[in-house]
Amino acid sequence: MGFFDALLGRTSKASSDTAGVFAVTTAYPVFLDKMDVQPSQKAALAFRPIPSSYYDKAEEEIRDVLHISEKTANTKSSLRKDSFGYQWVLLEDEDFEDLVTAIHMVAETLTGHGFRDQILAAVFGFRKDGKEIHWVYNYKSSKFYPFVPQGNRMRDSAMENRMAGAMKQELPLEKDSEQWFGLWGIPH
Amino acid sequence: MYPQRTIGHDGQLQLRMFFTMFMLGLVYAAFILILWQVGIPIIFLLVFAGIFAVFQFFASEKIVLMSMRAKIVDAQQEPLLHQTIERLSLMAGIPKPRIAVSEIHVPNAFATGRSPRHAVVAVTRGIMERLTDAELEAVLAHELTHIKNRDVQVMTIASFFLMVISMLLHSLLWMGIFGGFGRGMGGGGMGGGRGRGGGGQAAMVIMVVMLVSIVTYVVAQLLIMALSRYRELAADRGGAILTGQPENLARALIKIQDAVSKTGDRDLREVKEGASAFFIIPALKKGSMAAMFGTHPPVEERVRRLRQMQQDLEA
Repeated sequence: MGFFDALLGRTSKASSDTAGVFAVTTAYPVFLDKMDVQPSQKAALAFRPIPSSYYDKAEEEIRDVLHISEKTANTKSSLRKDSFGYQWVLLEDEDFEDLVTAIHMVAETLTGHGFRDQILAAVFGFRKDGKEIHWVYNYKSSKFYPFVPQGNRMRDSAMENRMAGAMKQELPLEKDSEQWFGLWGIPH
Repeated sequence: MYPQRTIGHDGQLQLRMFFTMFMLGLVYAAFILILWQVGIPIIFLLVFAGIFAVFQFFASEKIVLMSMRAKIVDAQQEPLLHQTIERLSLMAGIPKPRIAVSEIHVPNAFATGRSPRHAVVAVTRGIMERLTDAELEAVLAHELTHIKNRDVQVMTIASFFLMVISMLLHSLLWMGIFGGFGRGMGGGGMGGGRGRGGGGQAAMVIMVVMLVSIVTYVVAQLLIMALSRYRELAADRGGAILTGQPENLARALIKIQDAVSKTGDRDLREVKEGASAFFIIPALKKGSMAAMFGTHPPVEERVRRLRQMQQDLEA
């Protein structure tokens, strides 16, 4: 946000680097090895749809992209809305790289249709000791952070800090834990 | 392609904002120049007011929260508020603000805090009870846009000279009360031949200063209120983009307006203008002067613009 944007109350652009999400690919084997976690083989991209014909076109293209991913990389997908009104693209694939690629393609499609600012986050799922562990990619800051929900409103901060501590060399990590925005209620 | 940029900012609004700030700068510059010319120790005054402003700036959020009887709430107390704001902040690319709730029943919401890192978003119990989740989200998105646009800082800076002027007028009154009109001035290099001019000339200078101050005050106040109205429209627009549904905010505004004008509660009026908070709708009753002298545009106009926006999304 530049000086003139502040001066004139402009709220249009927040820089978002869609390609930054690929950092998770190289961190992935280290994460599994170091933290003894299992991949859930799931990932998701969430965004805020704008009811308009522009968005209908974008969604159509997203469905095409997902269809291609399913055909070429066997990435399964579905679109779900959560109770807050966000659209989730849920992906499932044994191959982690394919998951990241699919996430990136959907994000790029949204960007191509002018909806880049509407992207909420990308989420990559893992499991440890029966707990769901998420790595969240914040498109606005191009940083990752851990999110370990506990029930439907609590979170396991101790586990989150362990994950962050272990991965700070491997991922562009959000250092300020105040900025680890919770994402409860991810559709399944 | 969805016109992210053009929907995101209203060119005409930007132009008006720029023009208003330009005029404000001009008025202030003229004010300083005239005071400098007549030998008022303007630098001293600016420094003094500056210290006071910094203090007020840093205390503003506490002052506002206290006067609204709003208390900071954590995620356990208000999970829905927290989750909604967390998602909106993530999408808006701003730090998550602290969240406060005031138990008063007048439906309203506001944002304050000297920077996005120190921001607080507060809602009243009344607004939470009256609005649907989607409408409440729209209001919260409006308030987060105030934070993102740094409206507290912009308006604090814009109103700085109002404080200078009111300090000046106060000190002139004091000087008048305790006699010694001429002594307070002429100390600086500009004072030259004026010190000896006797009471008559000094009184003239005082008259000029008072007149200039009052005129500046009125003109600046009008400009600042215009600026505030433009910032409100910008926050409406930014908030509507964030949720993607301008209609939700339009409906919320209409509901709040109805409730505010019905209850006529005094609770919200206790907050002084200078405390730098951005209310979704000010609690003052509507009047014919509101359009020209209000800090917010009339709700009808805001709703009209939001609905226009909804149509533009389809174009």
